[in-house]
Amino acid sequence: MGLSNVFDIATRSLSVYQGALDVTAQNISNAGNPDYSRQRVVLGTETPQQYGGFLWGTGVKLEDISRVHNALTDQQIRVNNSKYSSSNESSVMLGQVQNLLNEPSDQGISSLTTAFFNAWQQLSVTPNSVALRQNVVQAAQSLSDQIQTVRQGMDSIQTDLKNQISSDVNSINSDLTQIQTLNAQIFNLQNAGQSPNDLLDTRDKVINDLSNMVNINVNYDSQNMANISIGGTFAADKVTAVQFKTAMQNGKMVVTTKDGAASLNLTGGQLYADTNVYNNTIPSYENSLDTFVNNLMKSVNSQQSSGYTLDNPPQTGINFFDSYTTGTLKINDAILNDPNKIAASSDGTSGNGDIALNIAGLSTQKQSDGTTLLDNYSSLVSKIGTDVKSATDTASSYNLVSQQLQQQQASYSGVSVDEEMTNVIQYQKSYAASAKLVTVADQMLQTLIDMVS
Amino acid sequence: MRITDLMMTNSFLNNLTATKSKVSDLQTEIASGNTIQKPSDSPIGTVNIIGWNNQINQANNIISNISSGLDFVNDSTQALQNIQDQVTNVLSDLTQVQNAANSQNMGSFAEQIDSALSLIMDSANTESGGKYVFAGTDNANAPFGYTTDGKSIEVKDSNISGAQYIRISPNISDQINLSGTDVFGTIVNGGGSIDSGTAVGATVTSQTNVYDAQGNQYTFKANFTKTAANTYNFTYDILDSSNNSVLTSTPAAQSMVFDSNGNLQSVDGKAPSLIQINVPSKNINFNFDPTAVTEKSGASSLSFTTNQKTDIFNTLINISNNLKAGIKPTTDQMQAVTDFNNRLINNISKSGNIANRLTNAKSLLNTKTLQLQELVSQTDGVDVAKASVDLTSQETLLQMSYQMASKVLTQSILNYL
Repeated sequence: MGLSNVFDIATRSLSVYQGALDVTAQNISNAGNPDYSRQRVVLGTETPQQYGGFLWGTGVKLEDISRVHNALTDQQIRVNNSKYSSSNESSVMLGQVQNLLNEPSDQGISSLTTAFFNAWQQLSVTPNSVALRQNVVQAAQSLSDQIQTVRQGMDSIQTDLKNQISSDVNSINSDLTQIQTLNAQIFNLQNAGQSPNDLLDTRDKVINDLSNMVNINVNYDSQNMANISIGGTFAADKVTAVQFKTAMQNGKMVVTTKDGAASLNLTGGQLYADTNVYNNTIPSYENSLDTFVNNLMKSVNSQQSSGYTLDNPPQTGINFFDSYTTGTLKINDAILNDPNKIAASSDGTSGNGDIALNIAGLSTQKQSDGTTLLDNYSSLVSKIGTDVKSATDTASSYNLVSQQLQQQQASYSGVSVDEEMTNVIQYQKSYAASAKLVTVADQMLQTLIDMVS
Repeated sequence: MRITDLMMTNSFLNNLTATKSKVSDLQTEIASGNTIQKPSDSPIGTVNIIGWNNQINQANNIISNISSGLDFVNDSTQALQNIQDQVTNVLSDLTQVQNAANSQNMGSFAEQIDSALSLIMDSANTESGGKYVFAGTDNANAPFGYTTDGKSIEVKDSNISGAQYIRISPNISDQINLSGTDVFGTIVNGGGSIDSGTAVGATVTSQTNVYDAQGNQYTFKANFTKTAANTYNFTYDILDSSNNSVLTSTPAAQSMVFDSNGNLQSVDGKAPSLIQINVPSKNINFNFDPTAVTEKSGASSLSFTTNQKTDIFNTLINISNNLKAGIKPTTDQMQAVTDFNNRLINNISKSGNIANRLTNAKSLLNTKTLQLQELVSQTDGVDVAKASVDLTSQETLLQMSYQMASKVLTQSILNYL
């Protein structure tokens, strides 16, 4: 063994600890990056050499830069992401519908319906009062306006959802392309003997983003390639990234492959919530609202057309509402132009308010299903409120689980600055000691040189 | 457990968000005074509040209408009392005029009766809130006035028998007016029965005496011609003393349908009501009430009765005219005024009953409204004291979180190296 061996060990040591400090620097710089998995330097001893009957150590080596990661937690996070995103998106979109209702308030459909019937009741007391007739028209107009606001607001939310669904699908297509590209890059680097830790983090982030959008299944093959399927339909691997599009089938928005060969069976994620609210929830609300308004219109018209106006001679057979289409409850133009065309009398005399009284009574009159007109609307409000509450509560629940899983992941993969700075000190001291070793070896060599010179 | 910086940051932010959310909710509650801002806050509570508010608004509206109705009823009662005061004076005059000592003052009594008639007419045309109280449902114009020849008084409106209803509870309507017919009108009350075995096409008739404004006698003849099972065409005629019709045109037949119990179910498809019969050329005006006519097995036995010969206005005119001609009032005329006085007392009593019902209904609705408001308050109202304490507590927690963050999150090993 010669002195040069000391130089070799010290030099190798300097190099290793410099590398270790590089890794620590990378960790520290990513301490605030939530998608980063900390990396760990794995040190090992160099292969010893046999000399003079002994095995002599040859110093330290950098065996690996490993990525500290827990695949099981990742999987749980993705499953939870889909559920949370689905509930949260439903809560947000249905919350918008709920806000449209403006209930409970004086400006909601319920209060305006009551005000409408109250106006009829007031008219029944003095049926020949033009002011009270005008009051009925104004109450009807306010109710009609609010119904239109709510109904067309629902249509508007549906339009927004349609755009959102297209945007969701574009985002999914982009994520799948990214995953395929990252798979290929990771494969190449692994083949070159590299540890593509940062690319793995990026791929995990994209997969997590994708799990927010749809229910996915991720399988890793022996080469650590991520194979993605969405709702049972193959979506991406190392070679292929399937592209999807939206299409209308039987009046419902569905997501299919570009060639239309397969439809996605969505059960979770933002896209599921958007399509479900678009296809099912809002149409169901609109249907309930339409039923309420149609019943209101028919009931009022049925009474109104049997009564007599305040004209001379009194006219009969005049409807109060003309029509109800796509959210617009149209009041008879003749009545709008001349409130005397309101038929409040059952016998044509100006002081008879029987018809007005009957219409006022519709507010409490039971229909064939045993409910009142307003009960039907209240059921809709209750349904929307329950749907929003359910979605919000579910989202909160998944959010708590999500927070715990992220804490779990942060505990395992996150960077601790204290830990890294301790490593810095450790590596710095090792580096300094190695440098001192070089100095000592140099002095020893100088001593030998001085002896022979 | 390994604690990383990200964990501490996330933990701090999650807790901070939760606390701020609670503070925000409490602030909204206190500011709005409501615990339910939107249906999802309490779906069942929202539906209850919608229902209760609906009932409260409806009750307030009914209370307002009852108040208007009470004004109307009180005006009606006052008018009836004014009329009764005059009728009492007339009765006193009619008693005095019978005294032989007053034979020379008949003209003076006639003037007093004319004065009373004028006041009675004025009260009969009492207006309340733009509506003539005794004009039934044709109440935009004064119901009573002189004929064009100025000799008698006639009904000016088409229908003074109409009933005005207002809602006194969400499900109950009540009549608030005493119609002109109720108070002043001549009514022929139909009674008895028609044989249900009458052949289709056969006619059952009945008749009674009716009188014009001057007290001349006519015959009111009612015909019930069977057109189908339980169904009859009702027609009528007015015949003078020579048995000639005084009608200028034949009235349209009205279809009367009896139910399975033999009670009159409908007239021309509507609920049975008074049938107004008016012959202006002869100053004949009365109402036929068919509601008590029945159909049953056995010989037909229709019988009609009349509540008065002529109305109070024309009775007084006739008395006054007689007095001016030196003729004392007849026993029939005195009895007619007495009968009208009794009728007035009954009507004043009815009017009082209507006012009592309205007042009771209003009181019930006020109580109900208070109960509903209590329910709304219990469901949606904010316990301000509790909310304030909770808010203070949450604000303290928030401040503690900030202080903890400022002490812990900023510390690391770097501070000691």
